[in-house]
Amino acid sequence: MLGDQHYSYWFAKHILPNEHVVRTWLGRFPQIEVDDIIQEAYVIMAEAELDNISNPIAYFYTVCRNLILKHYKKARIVEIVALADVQNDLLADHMPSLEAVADARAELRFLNSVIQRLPERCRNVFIDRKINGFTQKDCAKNRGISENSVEKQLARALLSISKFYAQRDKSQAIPIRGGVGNDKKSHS
Amino acid sequence: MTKKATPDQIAAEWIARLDRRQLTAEEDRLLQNWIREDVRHKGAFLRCQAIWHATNRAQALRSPAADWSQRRQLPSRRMVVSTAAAAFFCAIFVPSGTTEAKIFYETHRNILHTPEKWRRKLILDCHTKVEDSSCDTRVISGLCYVTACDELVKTANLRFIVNGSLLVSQGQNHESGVVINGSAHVWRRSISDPKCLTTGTRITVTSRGTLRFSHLDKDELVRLLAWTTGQIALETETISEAADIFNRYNQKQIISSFRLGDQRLSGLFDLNRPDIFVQAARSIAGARVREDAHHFYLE
Repeated sequence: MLGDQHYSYWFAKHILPNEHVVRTWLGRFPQIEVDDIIQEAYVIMAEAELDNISNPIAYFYTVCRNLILKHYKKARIVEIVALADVQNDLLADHMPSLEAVADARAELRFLNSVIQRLPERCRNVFIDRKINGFTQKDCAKNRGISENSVEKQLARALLSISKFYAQRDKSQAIPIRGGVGNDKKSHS
Repeated sequence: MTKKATPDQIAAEWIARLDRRQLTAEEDRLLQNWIREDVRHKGAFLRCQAIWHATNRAQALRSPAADWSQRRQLPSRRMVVSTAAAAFFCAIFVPSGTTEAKIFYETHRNILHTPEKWRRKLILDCHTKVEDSSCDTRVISGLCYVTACDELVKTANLRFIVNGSLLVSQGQNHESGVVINGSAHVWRRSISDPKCLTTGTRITVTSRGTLRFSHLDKDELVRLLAWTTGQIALETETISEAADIFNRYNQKQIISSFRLGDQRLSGLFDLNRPDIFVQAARSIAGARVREDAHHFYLE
């Protein structure tokens, strides 16, 4: 398995539940492929010393912000306004409050709703494997389908859940203060 | 794996394959090549792996059928009062270099039920040291019963992600964890591949450093947890061994003679009532009992 499992659990606990907030913020910037930035950010974070990170979400923001700057500096046709936006963006403005940071109960509710939205066949296999704890082999026996089908349904479920995490319900999103052309003071 | 798919899709397919079985050498080579091809592939894989682990939380949606847990008796009022009165522990808030606080718990002759904090509940056995922080719970020594949802629990060599309840023991030459309810993912500090432990599974690190897995039945789990309700379930212990257990929890010590020491006495006793155990030893094993302010002598 790639990488240390410790990182994976850290991502699951601190980054994923708040990823949609960062995605919403990234969506403000022109000529930026949000998925690319997020994926690259995971790679950078997987090389960090986690014990030194006291605020994972702020760190995630910083990594993404630096990646956008890098992208804009590389692409010479970028509008000056866009670059200024990133540089002037006050990180603290986008930090969710402590109350808003997704907690375990909220995560469980989210997962429950996500599972309910999976296609039936996919959902049944996912429930057998992840909730009832059966192996893929046992899932196949229980459902009377091949192990290949179980594997495919699980991959499908995982992809759907991945999309749900990325496009988490807007009503659940933590509101981001300030719009484009931030009028607050800048750190830089 | 299809080449036309998105990185997220391919990553999901690999994660599902890895969950099914170990990769063949050829598959492993293909996966490594794909990851090396583009930094976004690696990112997609890491993210997908995190989502796979995040969905472990879904186990909490299962209705627990822990019928055995109903057999546990509630602590008596006397036990609660005496434990509260005798309780000695220190809870020190240790500000770390970051914004996060740590709490250090230490028990002596008492059992400590901590208030729920950071979505974890702990019960510390006597003579136990635990460091609790927003990130994890570290059992430094002794025996600790942890109830948590997707939280990290550490011993010297083991790392657990607990979804349910786990009994963790850390001694000088051994460490172990038993899943009492739900499940736990465990891995050694130096090994990255976690194993999923289900209810009743015990993992032990032997003095040689090897890992052993065993399975305990429901009765054995109940017996292991008796101390959390201030009780002791004696089954195979000799009077001498039982005396040692009582002595860990009480100021007044039980001293058994050689003659009685090897005899066995079974039953459920209140840990804070060594006098009841002594009475049982007198009536069942025919022990002669002498007593002073600090000792019960069984002869």
